[in-house]
Amino acid sequence: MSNNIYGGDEVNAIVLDLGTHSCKAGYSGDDTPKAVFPSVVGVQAGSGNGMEVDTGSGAGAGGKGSGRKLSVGFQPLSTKQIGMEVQSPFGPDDLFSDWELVEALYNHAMKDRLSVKPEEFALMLAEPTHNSRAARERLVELVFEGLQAPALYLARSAMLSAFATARQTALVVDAGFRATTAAAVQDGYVLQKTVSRTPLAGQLLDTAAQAVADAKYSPLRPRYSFRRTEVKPGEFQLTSVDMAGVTSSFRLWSTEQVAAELKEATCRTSEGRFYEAEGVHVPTVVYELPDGQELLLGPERFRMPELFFQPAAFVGQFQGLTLAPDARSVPEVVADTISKCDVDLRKDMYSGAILTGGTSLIHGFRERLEKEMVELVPSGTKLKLAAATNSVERRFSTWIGGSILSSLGSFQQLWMSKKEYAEHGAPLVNRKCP
Amino acid sequence: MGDVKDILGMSRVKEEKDDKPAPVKKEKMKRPEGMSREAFALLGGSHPIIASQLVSVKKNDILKKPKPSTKGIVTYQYKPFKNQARTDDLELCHWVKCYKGANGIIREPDDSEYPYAKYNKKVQLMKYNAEEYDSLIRPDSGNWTKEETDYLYDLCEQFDLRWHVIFDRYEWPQAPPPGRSLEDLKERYYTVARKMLVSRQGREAPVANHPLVKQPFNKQAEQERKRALLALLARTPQQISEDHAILAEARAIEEKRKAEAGAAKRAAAAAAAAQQAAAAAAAAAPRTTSPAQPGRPAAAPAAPGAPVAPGVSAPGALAAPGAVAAGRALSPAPAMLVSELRHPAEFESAVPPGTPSLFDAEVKTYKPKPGVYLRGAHTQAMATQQAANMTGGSRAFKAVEATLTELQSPTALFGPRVMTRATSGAWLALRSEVIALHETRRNLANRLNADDRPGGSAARRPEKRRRP
Repeated sequence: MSNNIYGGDEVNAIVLDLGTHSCKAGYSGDDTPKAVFPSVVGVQAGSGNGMEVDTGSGAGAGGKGSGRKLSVGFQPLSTKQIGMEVQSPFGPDDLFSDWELVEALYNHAMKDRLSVKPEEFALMLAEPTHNSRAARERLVELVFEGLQAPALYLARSAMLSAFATARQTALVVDAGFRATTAAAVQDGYVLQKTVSRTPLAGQLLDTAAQAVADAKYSPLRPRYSFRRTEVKPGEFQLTSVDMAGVTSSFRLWSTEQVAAELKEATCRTSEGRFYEAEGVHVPTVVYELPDGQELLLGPERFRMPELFFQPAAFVGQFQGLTLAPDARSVPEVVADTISKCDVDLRKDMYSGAILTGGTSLIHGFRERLEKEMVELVPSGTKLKLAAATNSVERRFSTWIGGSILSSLGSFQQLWMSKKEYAEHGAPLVNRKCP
Repeated sequence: MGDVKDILGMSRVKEEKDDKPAPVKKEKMKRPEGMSREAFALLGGSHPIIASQLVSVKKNDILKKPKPSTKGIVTYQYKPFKNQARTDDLELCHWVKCYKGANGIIREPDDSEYPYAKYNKKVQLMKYNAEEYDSLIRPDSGNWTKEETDYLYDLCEQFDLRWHVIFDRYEWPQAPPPGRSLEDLKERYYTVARKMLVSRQGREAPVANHPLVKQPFNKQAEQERKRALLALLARTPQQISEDHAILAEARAIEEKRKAEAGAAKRAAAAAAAAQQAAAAAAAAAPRTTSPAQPGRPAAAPAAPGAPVAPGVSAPGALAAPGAVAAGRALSPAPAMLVSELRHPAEFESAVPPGTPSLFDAEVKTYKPKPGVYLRGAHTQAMATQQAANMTGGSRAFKAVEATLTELQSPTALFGPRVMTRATSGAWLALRSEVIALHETRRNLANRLNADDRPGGSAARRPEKRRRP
């Protein structure tokens, strides 16, 4: 028993958080994950023998029956690959759908990045907050049969985010990649009926950034498609690389990475509602793309995050951006979650709201959301939206919560072990990990 | 040098030579205990040593070798452990602090029980068995089947009676529409639990203090409360400000009522005391004063010679406000109430040392700043200050002057010719009482005008007692 952490007992457990943007993996008890890599898999139609291992790029297990060759991690996806499709394990409803990819990702995390044997470590897995029963049971099967882990716990992301901020009761607003989710956590349990989501999230902003660049200048060029050499000090020369054979999904994904950098560097949230007329006075910044091109961005910087708050009004500004007509703005989603809570809980939710997620790192996002919320809630209620100031804490709050939870002494009795799985089967997970 | 002094005629004083002054005895600093000799020598005596640093030097001497523990050398071992709170035998590994003795590795003494196993606490639910269900609970279950009740109990046990979570996870497809609300669930559980508790104890008496029995769950009350809370949350800012205004007004009305009640009580008490004093005075030795002497301390000795004149006039004035005050309940506007009226005999000239000799405008003993004061001038100043403090200004003061004049004593108006402590105090007291009388009268008049009652109140403007 470790005496220096109050109530802590670091056991051999690994925390895995497979999010829509990136997969985080590390040891329980640590304060940051050791391995972070994109949660997409490069898929190449295999040559037929199914178990090809590509040593140079750290590939995961090859497709067992489908003959696919899977490559996971930064390396294979950063260089130009012929015939490789980029696929995400998430389906259209943002739940796991391609289980082979999920297994490949987990294997890569543990065997290649952390260099551990899954049989020796208990697994704390973070699942999407709105995960369905069927998906959970399937995941449990995958872990026990495929990875042969000795013990397992499935925890919902919202619950872990609340634990990361040392709270058991909170309203968790997670501004993620594919969706922004708002959920109420009461006494350490996520209230399933209060979860509400909106597709206004990081991926949408990436597309918006791409549209901005495409409209104003020329289409963004992915990194692999050119080579930039310094011919003279200060002067660069650009040579195009032959792009034949590159699949469209690969190109799209690589372009999206460039757009993501653009978004992270330039987006700002305006303090009040953003009106175009004011945009004239917005100072412009210069952003240099990887291929040397310089973009001058002014009011576009404010227009992009405004999508979160006025989706219907601003979606038309970005060419090629499509949004479901009933997509709700982020403050509406949060208000919706609170209204689904019981009346007694609302006061706690108002005063204990947490904002997490990588997309929330946009400058001024938290203040703007708090301000919009104040208008939507009944007047006189005290509303407080807390957010970690550290960017690492915000991006990895789910993982950190998992690390905290799995290293607590009193948690050790809650694991679901392999023996219990063998006795009762996968549906036991709904009892053991509510 | 010396002959110059001779020439000038200066005296020559033999001064002792002090070119070699006795050196100030330098304090030899003692080497502090925690410090080594060499280190102290380096100091050179120029830097004062802070005591606290020295204390720590001794205690946490990091250069000192750690004492070997009797248990052995500390090693950490990665060992699997059993968790007694688990039903299967999952063994995970963790680091344990072990001591390595001379022969081998000895483990932590209390490694038999996992220290966190004791935190596995669960809420104790009383579960019914089949017979109890059939006999006790089934009769008035309403639309609850046994399966559904079992399911509810199962959830309660799983979630330790956290009602909001239970309600959230409650999924019973055969539940009658429109589905079970939180109050429904609570009601069902608490009724069943109550019946179980009572039946298991035999009678109701032993468990009468148990919260389940003492405060039964009231579904209606809960629903009402939630509705009210919703309405409260849904107030607009206008409604909130209206509510606040109403509350403030209500508070003001309450306070006024309380003050009136207090004043009425005091007046009633004073009237009762007046009755008593009147009875006592009538029976006592005859006095030149008028019969009603309210608020007088029981020991009313024969008035001393000097303050007789103001003493005679004072009760006359005293009687009137006393009657007024006893007559009806007043708002606490008058500056003085009956109980505060003072007899001139209270003012003594010969006071014990330490008691200030002067009085201020409120006729309290007053200690002035150091300096010379003339009692007469000071008292006159106090008198004018009393006049100035009156609410109503100079017009009101004219009425006061008129009263004082009616007393037909120049002393009352201008002040005693000889200002001793007793006389000046008595005179100031007289003035303040007359002022209070007039203020009270004016308040009454205002009240009557404001209320606009057609003269229905019992105590009308009282007649001033006149001295013959």
